Amino acid sequence: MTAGSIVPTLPVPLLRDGLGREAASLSLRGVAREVGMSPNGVRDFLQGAIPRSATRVKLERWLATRGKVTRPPNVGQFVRLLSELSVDLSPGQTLELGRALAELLVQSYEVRRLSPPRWVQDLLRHYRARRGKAASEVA
Amino acid sequence: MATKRGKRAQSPKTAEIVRLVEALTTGVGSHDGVVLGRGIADLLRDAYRERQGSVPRWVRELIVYYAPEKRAR
Repeated sequence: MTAGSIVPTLPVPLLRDGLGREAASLSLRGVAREVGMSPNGVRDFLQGAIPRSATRVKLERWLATRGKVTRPPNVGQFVRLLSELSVDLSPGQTLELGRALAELLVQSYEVRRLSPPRWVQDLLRHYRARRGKAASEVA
Repeated sequence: MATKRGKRAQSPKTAEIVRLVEALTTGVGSHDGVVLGRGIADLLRDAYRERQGSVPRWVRELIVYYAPEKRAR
């Protein structure tokens, strides 16, 4: 996998949902071993704990490696794509690229008059909220 | 790597990005990810120009890959 982003790019609930799906097929201990966390750490996160940024990045990267062959489209593939694209970009540019990607994904559905899946809508809300927050911090 | 558009992605990195774009737009059917792919290519070109002036080869490949196809006369 490429170096990828150094800041978390996914909303925590979406990350938790993705990890939960993998834990359901792999086991908690298996996920913990692959991610490089303790089983208790993984369990706590799945039960609602908010991890540190570095842990979130670690989880996102691992989730991205799990998104290679699954159908239908999923958040792991999104993270992997963002990771491939943002290899030389700054954290700020990476977040901006993530937001733009989420918007483009929504457009892809709207062009076909389809409703975007829930995870795409969550992603867009997440980036729009972050953008609003960043703008208010500047003001 | 042969892809749905019938074009050939040049480098492994470009091929991987094209594959992920196609995977993410599975079920959407919007020209096999062209809306997303073209948008990504434009964003990357602008980001690299802003950051360092030059656009890496893999980004140029993406731009070419997602460029509108010329119509035959």
